Amino acid sequence: MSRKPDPTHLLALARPASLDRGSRISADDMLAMTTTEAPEELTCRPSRQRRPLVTALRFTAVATAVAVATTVLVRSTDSEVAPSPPTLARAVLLAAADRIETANPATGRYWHATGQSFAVGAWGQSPVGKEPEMIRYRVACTHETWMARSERDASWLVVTAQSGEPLTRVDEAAWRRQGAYRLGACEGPAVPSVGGALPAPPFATRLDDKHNPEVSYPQVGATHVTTEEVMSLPTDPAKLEEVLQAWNRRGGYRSTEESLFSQATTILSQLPTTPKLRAALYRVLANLQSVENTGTIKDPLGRVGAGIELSGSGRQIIIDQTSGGLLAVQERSPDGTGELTAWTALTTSGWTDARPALPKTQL
Amino acid sequence: MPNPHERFTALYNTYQARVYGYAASRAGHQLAEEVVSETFLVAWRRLDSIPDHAQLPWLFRVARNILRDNYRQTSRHESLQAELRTWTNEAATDAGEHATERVAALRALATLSDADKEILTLTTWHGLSVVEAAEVLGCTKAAFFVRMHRARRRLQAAIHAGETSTSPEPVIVPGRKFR
Repeated sequence: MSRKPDPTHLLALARPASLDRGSRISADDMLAMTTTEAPEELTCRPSRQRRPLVTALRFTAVATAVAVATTVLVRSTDSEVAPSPPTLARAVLLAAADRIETANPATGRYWHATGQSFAVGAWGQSPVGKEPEMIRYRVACTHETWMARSERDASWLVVTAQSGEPLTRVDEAAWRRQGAYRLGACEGPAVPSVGGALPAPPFATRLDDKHNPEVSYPQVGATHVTTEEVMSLPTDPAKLEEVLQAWNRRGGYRSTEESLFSQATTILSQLPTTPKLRAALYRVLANLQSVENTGTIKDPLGRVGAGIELSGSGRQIIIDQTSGGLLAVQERSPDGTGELTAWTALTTSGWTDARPALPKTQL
Repeated sequence: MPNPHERFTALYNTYQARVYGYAASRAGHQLAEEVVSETFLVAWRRLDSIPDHAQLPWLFRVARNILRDNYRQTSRHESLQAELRTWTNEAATDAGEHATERVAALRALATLSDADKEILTLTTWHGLSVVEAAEVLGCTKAAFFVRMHRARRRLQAAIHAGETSTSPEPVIVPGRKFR
């Protein structure tokens, strides 16, 4: 009896030879494009001075006289006619902006936020060289963030409670075979995540580790920024959008509606802001073509608010229509089941002059 | 230590074809050239932060971010689907060994989600180890195994659906949504 061949083996056989064609641009041509820039030193923060990427690409097309010009032209003259913004979502966001703008503008030493988060994940442990048996789990976490206004003060994530369990009986059986270790992590969206071998809560971890820039905060999208930069963001929506796009360009990326949505929700949910900035962020979101009002819904803690979703992304925010405050950020599975795979609900947020009360255990 | 220009030239000459192949497998040949340029512009800017032991995963990850952030999902998807049709036709007219199996695998691949296409081709077409592929996707090795396992099952199901279908066109596996 013949065995069915492994599907990945068939796929390997089908690898197109043209994948090895390579770029027609030589190393010298690439270097010619880069001569106006020096390579960046490895620092905590990338330089703000950048040549716009599109300029460099136009140079590529001219300098090398290859087919690149066609794609550059297609990209720079977007011929798609955008549909009208969905009035309902726009109206909800503009109303939230108007409400939150009138909140108390006083600031303080720390932006202090508390919240709860949930995420579904997978993990497995095995001896070296052996494929681990996977355990799907759910983790829940209660956290506080203390973002210092001044860089002279330390910023902290404090995990006050944490729990985790295998998702199904099959997962539980595998987990017991592997020693029933503690499952725990804070992996919700729009909150600094921690995972791995964590101590029992409560514990605190620094968010402003300059020696470890890849994990330090604040971070907006793919870009590391300073609290001062966040605090000095313009409150005019058009100018604010320009700065957010410039932050994307710092990393060499072009802005999309998805990246703007992500940047705005990150700032709204975890970073120090004034009411005017929060209002401007809602107004930036209101101008996105892909935002949809999903109606009045309950957040993961049962609080009622207006659901605003970035169409097709599975990402959603829930806004308190009375205060205009952000209640929660949640993500649904992109696999079509619509399953809620991760969420973060904010319970309090605001400025304080109090110092963080830190637990004894600090990572 | 070689100067930055020499280091960049060595990096480019060693890996540009690999990055091109990755970009072509993610968005077709039409966009691949531009993605290679954008990737190596980022590489130049970040020359000092490219880890010596993981240069290829680092470059793939940059290319992946560029594809995700700079191009509309629909244009990327359409470009790749057109390329997959070309590759399938080439395989069908090729009298070489395993032509039927290759056509079936490419047709099945065309029906899968963007995420499944990516995870399957990272290891089978681009020769990345599990650790490297997980690094490119920004997930743990454990999460990679879960996703790979599920993608393989869907590929198997799609190949099977193609074998039993009387339609010459790929059968769309329901329930998948593109991000």
